[in-house]
Amino acid sequence: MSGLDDDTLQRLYDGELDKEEADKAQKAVAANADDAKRLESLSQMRILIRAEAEAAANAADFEGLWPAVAAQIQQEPQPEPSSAARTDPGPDPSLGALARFKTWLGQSMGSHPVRWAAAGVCTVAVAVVLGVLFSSFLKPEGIPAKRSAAKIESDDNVDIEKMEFKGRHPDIFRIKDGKRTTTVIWVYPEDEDEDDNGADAGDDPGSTDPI
Amino acid sequence: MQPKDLELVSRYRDGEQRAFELLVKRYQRKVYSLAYGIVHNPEDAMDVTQEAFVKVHRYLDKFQGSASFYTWLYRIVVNLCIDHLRRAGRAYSVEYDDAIDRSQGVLSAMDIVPSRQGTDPRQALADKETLTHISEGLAQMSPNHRAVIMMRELEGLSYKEMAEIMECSKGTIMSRLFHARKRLQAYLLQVLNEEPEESV
Repeated sequence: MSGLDDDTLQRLYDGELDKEEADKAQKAVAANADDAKRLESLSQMRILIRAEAEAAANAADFEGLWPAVAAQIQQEPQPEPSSAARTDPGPDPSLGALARFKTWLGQSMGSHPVRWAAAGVCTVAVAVVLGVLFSSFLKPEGIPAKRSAAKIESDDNVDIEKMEFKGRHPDIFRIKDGKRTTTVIWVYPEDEDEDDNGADAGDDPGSTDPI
Repeated sequence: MQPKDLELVSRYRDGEQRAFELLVKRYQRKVYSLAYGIVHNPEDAMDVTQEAFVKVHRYLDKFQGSASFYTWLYRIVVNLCIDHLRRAGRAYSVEYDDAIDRSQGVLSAMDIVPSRQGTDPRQALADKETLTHISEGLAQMSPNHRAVIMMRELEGLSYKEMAEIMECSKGTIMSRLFHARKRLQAYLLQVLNEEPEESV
């Protein structure tokens, strides 16, 4: 019966557990013959893989390698980064993501200046077109070009104004209470009916209730 | 005392041609073994080894020294091997799902060393026939799995180093390693159990 899960067993074998975890796992292995055998199996495989690689390397002839490399280096044309794509080792892997991106960007721009310039021009053109299109969407159509309001009643505490607002006629009440003023806009039902019959809903102040 | 890799790189950049030769000779066997482990053909492995050093030379200016030289070198080797197999049409398209639930199977508690082969298990491990089985078992894996198991078992690279080389997460490395080992175990169990027992 196995005690350790595969992850822990593998990380123990590969030396990837921290000290505390490793101590705990070692104790578990010592107490479980099956776990000990699983570890031994991994160890045997490692020995076999190494033995197989060793045998292959022993059979290889390295005498000619350096002269061949040296000869090829001599004949090397100037590096062409564009042809290096897949096997180009790229920036130092230990650099941060931003640094690696910057390095890549710098190399890429250096290699393809025309392509980058064309891409830049296209981007600006697209931005201009989108800007024009969006500006028409964002234009506040709901706000009428002209609004008018007429004071129809007034006393010390309340001002009442009749307002024309895109074909509607709400009353505006300004109620004074000491230093505070409360404003109430009252929309009449007939205005609502107009709305239901096709008036722009976006302009609806909300309801017939005071706002 | 041997000069360190970065020192040799620096010396080469300063114009000492011999420093690059020293780097090649220092790593040629390791690079070949790794390449052989992935491409599984002696000629191809030597071609990849040669190409790898030429590429190292070509891109040495890009090497910034914040990663170890061998991590950078192995990344070139692994990429070249995978490209090589792809070009040759020998890259396995079927790959274990690296995110697969590992509870599907466990690493076995198995005796790879056949007990019939004598008293010294280490001796038995060197048995030519067993090595052939290992070679066959490795050849059945995908290049990515072979790369991971070779880097771990031959070079003892950490999960982090392998993740940098293969440009993936440590979790993916663990998963690939698990599947590679499990697959190799399964293959060995199968072939070793098929073999007739020798009389002792």
